Amino acid sequence: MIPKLPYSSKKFFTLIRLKYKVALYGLATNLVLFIVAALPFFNDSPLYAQPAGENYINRLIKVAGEKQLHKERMWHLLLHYRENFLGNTTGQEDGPAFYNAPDGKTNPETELAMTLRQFFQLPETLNQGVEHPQCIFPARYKWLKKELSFDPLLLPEVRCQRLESWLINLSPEKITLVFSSFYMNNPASMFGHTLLRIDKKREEGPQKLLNYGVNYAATLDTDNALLYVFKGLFGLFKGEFALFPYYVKVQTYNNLESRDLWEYELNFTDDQMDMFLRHLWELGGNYFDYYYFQENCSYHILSLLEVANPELHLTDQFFFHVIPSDTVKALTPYSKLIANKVYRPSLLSQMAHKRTQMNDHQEALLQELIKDPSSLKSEIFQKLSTSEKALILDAFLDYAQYKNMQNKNEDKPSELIKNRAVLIERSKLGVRTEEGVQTEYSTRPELGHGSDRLKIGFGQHEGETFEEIAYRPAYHDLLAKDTGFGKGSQILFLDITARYYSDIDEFKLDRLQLIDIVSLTPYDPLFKKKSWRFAIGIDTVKDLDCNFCNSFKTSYGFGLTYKKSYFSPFTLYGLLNIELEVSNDLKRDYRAGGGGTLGLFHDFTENWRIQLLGSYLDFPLGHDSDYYKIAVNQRYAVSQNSDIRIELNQIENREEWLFSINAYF
Amino acid sequence: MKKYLIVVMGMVFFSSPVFAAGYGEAGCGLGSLIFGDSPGPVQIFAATTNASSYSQLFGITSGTSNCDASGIILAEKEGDLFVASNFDHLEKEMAIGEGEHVSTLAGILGCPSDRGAQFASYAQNNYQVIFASDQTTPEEALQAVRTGMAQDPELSASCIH
Repeated sequence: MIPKLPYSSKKFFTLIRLKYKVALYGLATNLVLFIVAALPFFNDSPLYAQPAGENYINRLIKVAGEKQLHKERMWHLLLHYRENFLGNTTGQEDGPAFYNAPDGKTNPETELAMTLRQFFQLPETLNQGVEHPQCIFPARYKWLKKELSFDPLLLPEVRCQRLESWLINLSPEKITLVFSSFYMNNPASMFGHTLLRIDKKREEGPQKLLNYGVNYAATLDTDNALLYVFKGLFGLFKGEFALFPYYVKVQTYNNLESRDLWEYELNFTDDQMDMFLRHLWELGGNYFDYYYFQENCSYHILSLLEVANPELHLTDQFFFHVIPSDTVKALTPYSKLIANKVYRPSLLSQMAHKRTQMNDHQEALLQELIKDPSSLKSEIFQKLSTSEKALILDAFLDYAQYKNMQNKNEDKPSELIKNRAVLIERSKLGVRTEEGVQTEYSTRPELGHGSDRLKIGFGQHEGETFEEIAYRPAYHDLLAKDTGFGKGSQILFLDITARYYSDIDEFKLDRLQLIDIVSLTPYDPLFKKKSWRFAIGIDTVKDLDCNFCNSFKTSYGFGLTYKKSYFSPFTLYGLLNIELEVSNDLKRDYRAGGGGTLGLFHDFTENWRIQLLGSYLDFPLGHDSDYYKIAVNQRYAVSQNSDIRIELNQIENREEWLFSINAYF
Repeated sequence: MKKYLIVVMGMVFFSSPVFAAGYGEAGCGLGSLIFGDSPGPVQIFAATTNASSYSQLFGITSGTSNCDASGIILAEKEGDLFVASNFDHLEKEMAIGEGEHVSTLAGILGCPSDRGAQFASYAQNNYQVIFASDQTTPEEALQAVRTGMAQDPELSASCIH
């Protein structure tokens, strides 16, 4: 027999209304709320239940206090508490309704007591459309129920119909972490993106595309590029979780952007997955302020996994920044966590795989078909065998799908490829293609080097010895081993290099690259992508005698890259550059001009790369000058996270060599 | 200059939704599905989650005809949504006679997983019936598949619909 808990006091309604005002009006009402909310602790008249219930609330709070539940890792994970370096605890969740106690965001103990108190709320006192606290915070309820062994006679359990049907609909068999890798000609995409997929138990067997994906992203409310940057930096976007059918994500990443996806199927028990979903439910209506360096998609995805299994310590190690590839690396130390790894090739990787099976004649016919789809009817095409036709048409259809998605997305209906005749021709062949095992066009992110780099080296510049130290928080340079990264791509961010010249006993800032991005996309007649470089930062003027003076330098280059095939070890590229340098040590304080760079690199082995570079720059504006530079650089990767390099350069007649050791972490 | 800003932005956000379809494809939500003149497969799903109160977890409000009260796509709408969102993929896989999307559709239409290949060949053989013209809408294509399956003795026997 469940005792009916009478509910008479009007004070509770005052409390509820005030809570909503807080949500609406913010800080102004906080004080009032605090006083009212504190009343239950001092007032004899029961707010939440009759005296027996009130006693039970107090008993639970007391037991929770004795067990120090508010200090438990699980409580801190569920409430997203973080300790800052001063030792103060603050909740990261920024939605106003996430914490129950007025000071709940900073006080785990009062939050726990208030949460318990809320669980006693009588369902009939709820406003229409408002869920019961047990249904709003089902993960907290589940955990506290277990820890405190709730007596259902004294704390009646509320039925949460929406939650229950949601859980039944999702009924997970496993949870999969999905990493979206690099896409063509966009080095920024090297950072990747991570999301989770809830793989449903189905009688008919797995239907991966129909599973739900869990995505955490900033809700963007501006088209202004500068505002994007500013708001992202200062946490002014709301970051929210959302559920999507996985096929929507496959369409976006795998097809439209043509990025390979890596799926990591994770081992969790049914109970852990239940906790995961309940916590996701708690987060669903809330938001975090989105900080791109700390609280981004990767970070919150990992914190969800920690709730599933608190023995995982995935977010502890992230201090300064989280890059999506680090998400995968955070999982790898837990050897039993990853059950299976699956490669989902992008549309263009599927096409590339088909093209690797073609001979030159077939490739030429494919290109002809793309130029003019009516060449389908040509005698030369019709003479091919059925399997040859199928191979070429399949590759064509991948290409047409990719192009058409791009064109639709960019709203260019006039450029759509009319592929209906090809589709019909292909269906009439009535065969499937034997394409063999799909080639992997990207490498798993956890195999790549760490994103931070520390470089220590020594060398000589025109006979003057120096020691060099450099650090950067992100991400990958052209000379580094590219396993786990996009090939022919570079992103350097805040890369700072200092030198100590012992002969003159002086420290010098050698370089500070704010951003240095290179994209060397091999030229393909079907895609016609250009290669380019953009760099901005502080450099040392080495072609003039100015005692290693610094200049502010920005440059942009574009050109073409040649590579025989995707996996060929040899890459050749040429870029035309424009450059602007500003420095007190230049006549008229600046020089502007342009020139060209010719470069190549070659991998002798997987670990050993050589790079040759030659460039010439002429500055007709400002300080009238010109110089040439040649460089021969070599890198040997000793392990996943370390390499040694020898760099030789000559600028005009000044020679320099540098030996360095690089550690990635 | 704009190009540079975009590059910088890409760095700032690590992930690409900034550039691509945006964060708009929330799966459910206001005005969720637009058949016919849809602007493109990724834009099928319109509004983002409406997270203004707890009664709207995962953004489900009245006026959303494709989802249940907890934001899950209704079983009877799953086929429509899937075909509309993956139309170009299905077009290709049906012509080729195999693929994950076409076997997923077979599953939605009640075929057991070992009938996926049979369904794919059925679609390949009836390609011009399913896609009668280049103006065929996802709804029409799905209707043609359903009708065709009912008339196909083997598929109608092994698949539920």
